Amino acid sequence: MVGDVDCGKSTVVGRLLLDSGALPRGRLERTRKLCAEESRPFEYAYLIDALRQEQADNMTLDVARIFLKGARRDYLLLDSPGHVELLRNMATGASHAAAAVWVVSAREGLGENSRRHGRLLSFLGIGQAIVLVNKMDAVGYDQGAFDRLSAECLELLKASGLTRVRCVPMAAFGGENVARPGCMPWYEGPTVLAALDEFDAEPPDSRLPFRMPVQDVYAVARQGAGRPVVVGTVESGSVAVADDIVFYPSRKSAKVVAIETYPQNGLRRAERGMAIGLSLNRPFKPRRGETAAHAREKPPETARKLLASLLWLGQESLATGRRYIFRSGTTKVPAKLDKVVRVVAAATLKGGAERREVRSNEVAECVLRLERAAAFDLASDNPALSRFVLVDGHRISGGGFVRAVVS
Amino acid sequence: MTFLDRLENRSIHVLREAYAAFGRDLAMLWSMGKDSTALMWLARKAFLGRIPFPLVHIDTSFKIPDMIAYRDGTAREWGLDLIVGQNEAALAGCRTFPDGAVGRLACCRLLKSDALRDTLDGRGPRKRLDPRTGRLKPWRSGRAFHAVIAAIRADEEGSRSKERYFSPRSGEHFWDPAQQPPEFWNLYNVDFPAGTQVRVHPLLEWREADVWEYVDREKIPLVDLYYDRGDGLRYRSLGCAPCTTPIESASKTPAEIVAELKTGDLKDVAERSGRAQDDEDRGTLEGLRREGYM
Repeated sequence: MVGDVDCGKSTVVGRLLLDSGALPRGRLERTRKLCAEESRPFEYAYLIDALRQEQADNMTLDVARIFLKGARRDYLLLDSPGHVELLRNMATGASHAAAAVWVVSAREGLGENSRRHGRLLSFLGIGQAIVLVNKMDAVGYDQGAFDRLSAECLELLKASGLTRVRCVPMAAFGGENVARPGCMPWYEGPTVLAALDEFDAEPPDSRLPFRMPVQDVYAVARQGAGRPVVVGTVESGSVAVADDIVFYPSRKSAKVVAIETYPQNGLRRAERGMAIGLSLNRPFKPRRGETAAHAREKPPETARKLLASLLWLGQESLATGRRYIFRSGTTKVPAKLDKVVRVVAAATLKGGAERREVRSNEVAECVLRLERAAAFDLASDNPALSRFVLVDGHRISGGGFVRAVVS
Repeated sequence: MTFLDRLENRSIHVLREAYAAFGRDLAMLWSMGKDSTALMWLARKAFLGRIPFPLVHIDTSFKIPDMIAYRDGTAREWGLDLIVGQNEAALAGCRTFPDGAVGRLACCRLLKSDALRDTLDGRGPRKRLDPRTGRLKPWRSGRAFHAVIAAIRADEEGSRSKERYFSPRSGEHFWDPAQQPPEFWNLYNVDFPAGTQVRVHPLLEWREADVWEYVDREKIPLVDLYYDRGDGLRYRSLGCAPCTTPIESASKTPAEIVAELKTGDLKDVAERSGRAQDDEDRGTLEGLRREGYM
């Protein structure tokens, strides 16, 4: 759930909870009572914006995880802040989402920050979205106003690559089109709650090769003898007992003797998402940061110089000459900015002039140079294994995808 | 994989990341409640049988006696490295709510938040389970734990819904929810300046009913206070005896509790409605949690 400040996003979420029956008994009454005691008007947003400062400022500060029941499935809503200064929190929410709900205001229209949100959705890898045109009551439930604003939103999303989109006109405070149809007879589409149920579950791509970044190696005692177990989570593809696997970037190979679980359940094949351990037929210990791949599948890229697109959130600009930590999978390696290829102002996503640094809240394409070779996939091949973050000092200050290897 | 499998595997991944990042600096909180016991079960799976870090119980001395008996029995059976901390000064000075000296929130702060901070830092008195005798004995060691795994869930109350999987606190354990670093995908924050305390939350996206389904599926042994033992009463949430009240419910098994939560009498009743301290903090635990409450 994303949207600029004052688009009414938290009111939408509050109404969704109330109208879908997900609020605990007495919660609405208690929130109304607190508002009365503190002499301020009740807002549905207070059901969501739990922090004192959020209620005082009428603004979401950080991502809230909110559970919602639909007719078709349950939802975890990541209600993300809209303010431009809180883009890191918006990006945090969006990076964990399978689909997006983008709230825009019929009264305020599409401002710069709103456009930035829309464009970041597809940048962060989201493939489907609903646009909620909120505050239709403020424009007299006018179909023309809805048509104009939704066309503008669709165009923007389409330009950044997000095409599976549906637009819903609504008025959150009165609950129009939230869980029940509102007073807009010209609109024949679903309510917000019904539109959520139209989202597709993203099926895992079964053609992707096996990848498991090594998290650790544990010594497990069994029948008196200790043996190393390589643990990690299968990020794509699958692995089975007796498979030949190769660790990158070291290129050491081994055969899988057993898939280790506790209690041992005799698992023969492990699939994407499973947190497992592998016993190997060789005594060597791969290190954290290596990635296991199947010997007969396409290997990951291993390189020291790469082209990446990233969102920078650091207070200090991303600049040449400074040392960062590049993290991808479980790899952690010192890195430097080699050059800025193109800064795409996050608000407009248009190419900018030549630059030597990337400022806070900007999206850019850059060349990064790693101190040692790391293993990863390209975004066009296997997005999950192309993700990385850059740590500046002790703080994650940017995140993005590897686009290409630079020779 | 089922929904529950996905939750389980993600939590195991987070536990392994925490151990890889913090090693000997890491400990896990165990309150003997259903959430932290389920988390301990997950930790046994993550580390293939043996949990490689200590379990810390903050003992307010007002816990329901059955909980302490269950704690000691389970610790012996599972071979846990159990550390128990307590704010002995506050208890000796009778600065508690049951003694009538302070309110509920101040009591929570002294016996839980302060005790937790001092136990992790090593400033406060600590006891450790002696595996040979099965008894607790004073543990004098300077060892501090800079990272602690806690079994909080986002659906419990408002301030917990704002947490991250890896969340930094100040050296004094203060939490500033407005200043949390970004958390991209599963590339969690594990780099912090010296002096930072880190809270790790592997159960963040589990709901109450998910935990009970998992307890049912895995047959995790819990303290029987959670079940109706014949008087039509059971605890839904376990805390200190003076501030926790049982609910009317005839559920005798985890499966019956799942049904009660999903479609039965508890479908729309808040989980912590039997925890009196929540009401005194505007219906949230925000004030306490900013100061370091778990």
